[in-house]
Amino acid sequence: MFAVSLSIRRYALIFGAFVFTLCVLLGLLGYQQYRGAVNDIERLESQAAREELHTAFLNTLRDVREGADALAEWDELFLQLGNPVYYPYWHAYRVQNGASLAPRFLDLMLYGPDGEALAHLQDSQLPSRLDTDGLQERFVAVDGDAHMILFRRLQRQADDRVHGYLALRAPLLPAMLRLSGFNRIDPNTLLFRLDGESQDAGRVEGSLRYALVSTTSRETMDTLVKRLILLLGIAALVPTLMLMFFFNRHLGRAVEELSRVVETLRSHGVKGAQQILERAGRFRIRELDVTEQSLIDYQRELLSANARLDEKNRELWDLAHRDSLTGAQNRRAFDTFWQTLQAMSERKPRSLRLMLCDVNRFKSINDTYGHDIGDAVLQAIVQCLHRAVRREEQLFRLGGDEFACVLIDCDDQQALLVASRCEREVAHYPFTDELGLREPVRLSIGISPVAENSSISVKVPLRQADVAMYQSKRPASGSVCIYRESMESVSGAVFSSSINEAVYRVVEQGEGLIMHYQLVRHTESGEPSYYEALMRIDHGDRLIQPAEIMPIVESRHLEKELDQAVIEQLLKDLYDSTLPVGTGISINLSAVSISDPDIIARLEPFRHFMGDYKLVLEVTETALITQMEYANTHLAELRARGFLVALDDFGSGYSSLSYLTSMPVDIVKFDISLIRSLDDDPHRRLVAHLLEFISSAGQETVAEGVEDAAALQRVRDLGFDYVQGFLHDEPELLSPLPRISAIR
Amino acid sequence: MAASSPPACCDASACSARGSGARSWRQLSGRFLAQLLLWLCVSPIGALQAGIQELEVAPGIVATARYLPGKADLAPVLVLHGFLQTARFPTVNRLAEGLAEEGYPVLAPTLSLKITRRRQSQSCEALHLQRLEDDVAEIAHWVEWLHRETGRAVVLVGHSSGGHAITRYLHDHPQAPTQRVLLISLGYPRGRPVSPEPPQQKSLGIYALDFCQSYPTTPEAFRSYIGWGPQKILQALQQATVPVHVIFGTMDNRLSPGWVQSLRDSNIAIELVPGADHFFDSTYEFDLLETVIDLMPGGQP
Repeated sequence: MFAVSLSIRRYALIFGAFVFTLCVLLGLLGYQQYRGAVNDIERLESQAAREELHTAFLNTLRDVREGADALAEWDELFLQLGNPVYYPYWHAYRVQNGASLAPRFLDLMLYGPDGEALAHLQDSQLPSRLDTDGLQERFVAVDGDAHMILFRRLQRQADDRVHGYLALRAPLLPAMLRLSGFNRIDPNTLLFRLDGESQDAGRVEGSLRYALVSTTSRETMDTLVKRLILLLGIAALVPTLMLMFFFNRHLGRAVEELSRVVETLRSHGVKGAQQILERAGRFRIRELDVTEQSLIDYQRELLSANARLDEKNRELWDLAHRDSLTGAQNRRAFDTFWQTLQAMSERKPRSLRLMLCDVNRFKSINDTYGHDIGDAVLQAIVQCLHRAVRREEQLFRLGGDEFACVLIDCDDQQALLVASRCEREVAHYPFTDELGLREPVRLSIGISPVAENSSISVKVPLRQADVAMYQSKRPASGSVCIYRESMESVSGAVFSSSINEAVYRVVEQGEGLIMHYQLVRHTESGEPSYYEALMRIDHGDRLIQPAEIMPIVESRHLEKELDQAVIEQLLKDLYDSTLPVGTGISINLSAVSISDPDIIARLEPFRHFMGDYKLVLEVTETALITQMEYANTHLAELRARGFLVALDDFGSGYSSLSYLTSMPVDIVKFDISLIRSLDDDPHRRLVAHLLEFISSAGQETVAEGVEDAAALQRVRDLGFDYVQGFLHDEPELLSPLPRISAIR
Repeated sequence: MAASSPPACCDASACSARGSGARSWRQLSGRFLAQLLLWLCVSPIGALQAGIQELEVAPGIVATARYLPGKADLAPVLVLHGFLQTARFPTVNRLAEGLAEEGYPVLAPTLSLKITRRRQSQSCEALHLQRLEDDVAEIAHWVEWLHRETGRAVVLVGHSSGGHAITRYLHDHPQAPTQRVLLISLGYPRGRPVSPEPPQQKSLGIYALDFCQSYPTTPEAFRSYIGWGPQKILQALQQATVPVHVIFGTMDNRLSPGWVQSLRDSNIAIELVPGADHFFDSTYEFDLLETVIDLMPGGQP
């Protein structure tokens, strides 16, 4: 195919040049053909002329001879032969001046029987004497003509006597012209080129020179043909030039205008093209006008379609990059933004901070108030965060209740200010009024400084921010933490892949879970009351403690699954008679499981052992219970079914005094922090008041963390019903028949 | 003088008698056809003897005559042509053949005009050396020959100047073996010198003679014709010993004014053919033939 693209005017020029060349070639070819035909015609005409000349020559000879024969019968000749006295007179009077010889002969001479002329005439060119034995015709050259000299014996019919002889001189050229109507020979050009005298008629004929009569015709024809070819050339060129003119003037300009319109459509859109068309006017070629209008229409439709497509793309981009629930950008947008940020940082390194936050106990909120409320909480959170972050900073929802924001040109202090604004905005949001939440909604915020190395992966700051955020969730930690390397040891378990795998193996496959039991004894008697079941996970060379397990469970929201694994393991131990009959077992349940409506059914199998064992349900992390109403309902039902309810970690951050009044509790377990503080008098008085208050409510108390005799003494002095701690009993793995001994 | 062929003889029994009186053209045609058939059947001799007769009328000059044999009991006829003509001249040729068809032995000589075996009419411009006397001599030769061949007196028929020569012959040969003379469109020559006449009689001069406006001849020859003028003609005719009839066409415009009247005045028998010209062209040839036949001795054969 053609690789070169030419303009239409150039094509028109090439077309014109082609037509011109074609005309010239055809003209030359036609003229050559004509010349060939003319040469053929000339050859044929020449041949025909030779035949015509030959015929004419023969006719002339025959006519002259016949004339001579006729003249030989002329009576006047015999008069002269009979009486030659008046021969000179007769010759002059009848031959030279008369018309007797005309038109064939110029001269005549009479001879007697002896061959002697009747008279010697001066003006005659005929011989004065004949050789009567050799009368042979001959031809004599005379000024471009050939004169034929003939001889006849003069005799009468029925008379053998030769009366005399006759000599005649006949010019052949006039005779030929007179006798023959030449069609192919120009008679004016006819002449003899005979040298001297000859008796050979063929030679005389061969000496004839002539020109074809058609020469003039051919010249005329030649001129006509040339003129015709020229006219045909003009006739071909003129329309071609007119066509080229039309092509350039209308079609070429139109196509160029159309091309410009298309180009303008592409570069400036419909308005620019219409301006060109208004300047150019109509093309006066209907198809092009239609094409031009169609192009504009198509362009308009294309623009409209593009606009719709852009809108759809934007929608699609939003769908792909924006969280439909909250309106914040999603994880994909975060990754794209991060790549853009990296590209920008290559040109200009900037100080960045990654802020990561989530909603404390959001799963509990979701479970307690339903997903609609949970969604509304997230939307409210996003509104708060949008208000809190700076204008140029974008908010991303990475998943669930986790949000991220990259703080640009920001140091730690500024990041803390932004995080504080976020906390403040959330804290001031009227969740109770708007959404009916009874619990406060708080954020945990982790901030990670981003190294100025632009090639660093987003995973690193994300993990660091995650570590900091986890740190912020821990008791006694602020709700906003900036990542420090020291946090790695604390949160190591959470982010340890091997512990993660062990936890998931427990909750998914029920493998690796080991239950240790720690006795809770009567304070005064020291007799065993029941065992608190404490989970461990077998990790090969060591046991993973709950301190390492729970952060993972909480961060992965695996509380319900882990509780189920514990329940199953405890049931197994009970079936295996691992615990002595007459004691009891205390089961730690997470806030999520307490709020779960299925908890009653899940604990139903324990009722089988209710005659032999005391069954206590320890409710830990009470502050995390978001749906207290459901939890109370479930606990009341369980109490009705024979379970005892113990409020664990009372006095820590997780359990407060308010829960004693709102929850159906049988046992209150004082947190180890309170027990350790009993050597301080103010604290001891406060605990004493609490014990009095709780005991008056009919609830039993357990002192946790009794690790020495002094602590035991203080607990006895205060009147705790039960004690638990390393002083007497460490958590241990029980065999099926444990040995139980009383404490003295 | 020698004849090249014997005279024709017509069987008398084969020559049937003919009625007389005027006949119409249709009658002539029918009779011609019948007689032609009869002649072809019963007269083969005549056909055999027909031909050209030659007669040396002067040294080296052979004159020719066309001889048409006829019946032996009918008068032989010599038909002589006019000025510069030959026996093939249409008027005399048709007349000769018509007479021959009627059974008359016909001899139509061509005057030699000094040209041996002359066959062509002579143009006025040709050199003319013959004299009237030469013509008369040739007539005399042919009359003698015809008479000798047929044994009967000859009827002389001459057309135009042929008649003129016959009148001279009648004058010069009063005892010639002739029995009747029929002169058709008889005139007499008129002429004059066109150029000054040469002093010598044998020299050539240019004359106007009869219808020729340029007639090269010698004064002697010119005068031989001019000299035999109307008076001599009238005298000769009056003195003729045989019946003479002159036949004219009423439309003949070549005759000199008063000539016919002069003939009448001279008691010359004149027959007029109404409407005919000098040459009796067209259908008048039959009228001429009929007139001639009517004037033949004994009338219709």
